Amino acid sequence: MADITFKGLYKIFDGDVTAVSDFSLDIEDKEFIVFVGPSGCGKSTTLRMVAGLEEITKGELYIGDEMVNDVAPKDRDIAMVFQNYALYPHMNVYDNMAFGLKLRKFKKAEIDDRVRNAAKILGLTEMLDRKPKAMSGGQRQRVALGRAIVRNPKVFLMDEPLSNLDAKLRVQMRAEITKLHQRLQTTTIYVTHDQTEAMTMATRIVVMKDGLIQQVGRPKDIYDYPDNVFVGGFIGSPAMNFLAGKLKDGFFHLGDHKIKVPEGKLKLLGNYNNKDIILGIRPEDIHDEPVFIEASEHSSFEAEIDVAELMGSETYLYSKIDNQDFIARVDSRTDINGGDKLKMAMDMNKCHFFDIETELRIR
Amino acid sequence: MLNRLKKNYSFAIPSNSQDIPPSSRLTVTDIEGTRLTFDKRKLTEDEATLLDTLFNEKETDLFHGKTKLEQLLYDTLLNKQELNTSELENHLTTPFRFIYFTVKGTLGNNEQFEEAMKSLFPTSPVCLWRNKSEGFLVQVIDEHFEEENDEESIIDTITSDFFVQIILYIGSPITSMNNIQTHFNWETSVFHIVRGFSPTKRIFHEHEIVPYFLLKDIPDETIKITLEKLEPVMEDQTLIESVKVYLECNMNTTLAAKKLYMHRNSLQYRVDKFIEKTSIDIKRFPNAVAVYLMFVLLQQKREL
Ligand SMILES: Nc1ncnc2c1ncn2[C@@H]1O[C@H](COP(=O)(O)OP(=O)(O)OP(=O)(O)O)[C@@H](O)[C@H]1O
Ligand SMILES: [Mg+2]
Repeated sequence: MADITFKGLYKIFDGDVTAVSDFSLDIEDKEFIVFVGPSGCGKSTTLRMVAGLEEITKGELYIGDEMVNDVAPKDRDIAMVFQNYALYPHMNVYDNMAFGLKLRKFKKAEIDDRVRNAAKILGLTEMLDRKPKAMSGGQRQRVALGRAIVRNPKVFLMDEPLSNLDAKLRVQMRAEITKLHQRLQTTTIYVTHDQTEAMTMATRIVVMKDGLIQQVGRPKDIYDYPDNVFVGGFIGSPAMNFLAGKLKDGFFHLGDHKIKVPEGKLKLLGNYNNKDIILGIRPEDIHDEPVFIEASEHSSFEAEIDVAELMGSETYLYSKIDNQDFIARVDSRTDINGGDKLKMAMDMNKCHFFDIETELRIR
Repeated sequence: MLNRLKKNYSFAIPSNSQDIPPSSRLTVTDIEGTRLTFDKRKLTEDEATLLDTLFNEKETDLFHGKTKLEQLLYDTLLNKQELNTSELENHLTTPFRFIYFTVKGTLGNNEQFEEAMKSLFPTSPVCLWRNKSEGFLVQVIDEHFEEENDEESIIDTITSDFFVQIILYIGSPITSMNNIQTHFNWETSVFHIVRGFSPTKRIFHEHEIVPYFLLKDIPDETIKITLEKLEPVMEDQTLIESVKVYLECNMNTTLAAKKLYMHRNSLQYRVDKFIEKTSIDIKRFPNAVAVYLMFVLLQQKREL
């Protein structure tokens, strides 16, 4: 059990590739923190600095009260799980889980206890004699988790552990890892590029881009209040719509369309009158129900649907306003087809405005 | 560096290190991995301490081999002694291959590491160390041998148990004992030059290492001109990654799709998109080679 503190961490490779910049974060004991961001943003590098696999170029890292910059990886009391099934293919499940403990010279009885206990938690008891080759991908990854669990470490570090599984299994394992965390309560850092994993698993999410933290927060807060255009676009699927227009006397002008900005939002936009700004609105906040449209006469508009994608209970409508693409996510009850003209309205209480230059949310 | 030592201390260097009792051996290594064993009894205490602090970075007994075969290989390959084919053939059957490893980080215990490596590469009777962080296995290719097709995961397995990173080079099979030294020397020197050239490339297979070797010293201007051809897809890292895997899978869409955990048709679509955007028909072998080399260059350029 431990909290983890990052104080202005940097990783600069070979003098000039800055993979991580000024990374500061307090992770509390028992948290399940997810680092999420596009490929190359520095998630793994940060995780590997915690593990001690990469040297810290600058800054301080604490696990518990101890500064660990110079503590050898094996003395940091952490356990790692990777994307690949990190197993010994020619050892059975039992020996795979026991190996790390043998290395650390645990007594046989203690090893046996820990392995059987982990196997029970992971539903592997019946498979202790099996070799990894005779197991499915999901089972193998469970063994890899078992190898981490038996160590009973202060911290789990997981680098995209579900990326090698097919979509269905991924959903299932997602839930299993969450349950595992609830049970063991071990502080966990989990790296993924999949925003759905981040949203569903994290106690808090750290969104990263180009080696920099973009935002830290609980999933719902990040979803509802993205700090900038990048976070708004990265978290959520389909992504938040961004529409550039001009603010003029209480209205947001999108070409010929005039959309009234609610009082509450307008207060924040004091300095932006007559300036270009970006409107951010989630696909589910663009409505096509007549009741909603009637009540929202100042934010309604008509647009031609390019494509209507039936996703089951909901439909994604791809369309344009003022020549800018957007997606609306509506109930599938209405039958809409590409080419149709449709009246829609934006729920302006849910939208955000962003500065066009800094791309920061105006607040 | 060691050559000068060799000259100045020739009196303390026996022709065969096995002639000295282990407790009197002082083995030093330079960065290229060349080694020299001194007879401590013939050095003053100060000399021995100085040499030891300057060059010796390991527990000597690790490096002389525990079995007869290991000793033979140690002398033939690392001590560059004369090859005794028939003696070696008594202990080692052909074909076999070398598996070279470089360890980044500190290993607590080399023997446990050896055990793990031998378990990951079964049918390997030998593990020898060149110095504290480099060594090789000899893996016999017999009826018990099984090609491991998930070697990336081997690296992660080692990391999860030992908290070190490793770089691997799986050498090509050796069928005749007569070639063992030239083969070993070639693979060792190429691996030495190439590893680290591309920091995220953690494993090399057989002659896959050659393009990396060739492309090591290309002038920036040449790289720039060559990569212009990839300009239309440069921003699309996912596309490049999938096409690279496609090429590495011998342009076999089914195999590559499996490796990428995606549907065959989606990969086909990506390959077609690549061809359309770059106008390079990578289904033709010479074009495929060219694009593969460009990818290697790109990987280097992105990382350095
Ligand atoms: N050993 C290294 N030497 C040089 N550059 C490196 C090294 N490892 C990573 N990088 C670079 O650092 C940056 C961050 O890499 P990192 O692996 O942390 O990204 P990531 O967010 O985990 O991405 P992915 O989702 O692709 O795994 C990248 O630009 C990468 O090329
Ligand atoms: Mg990564």
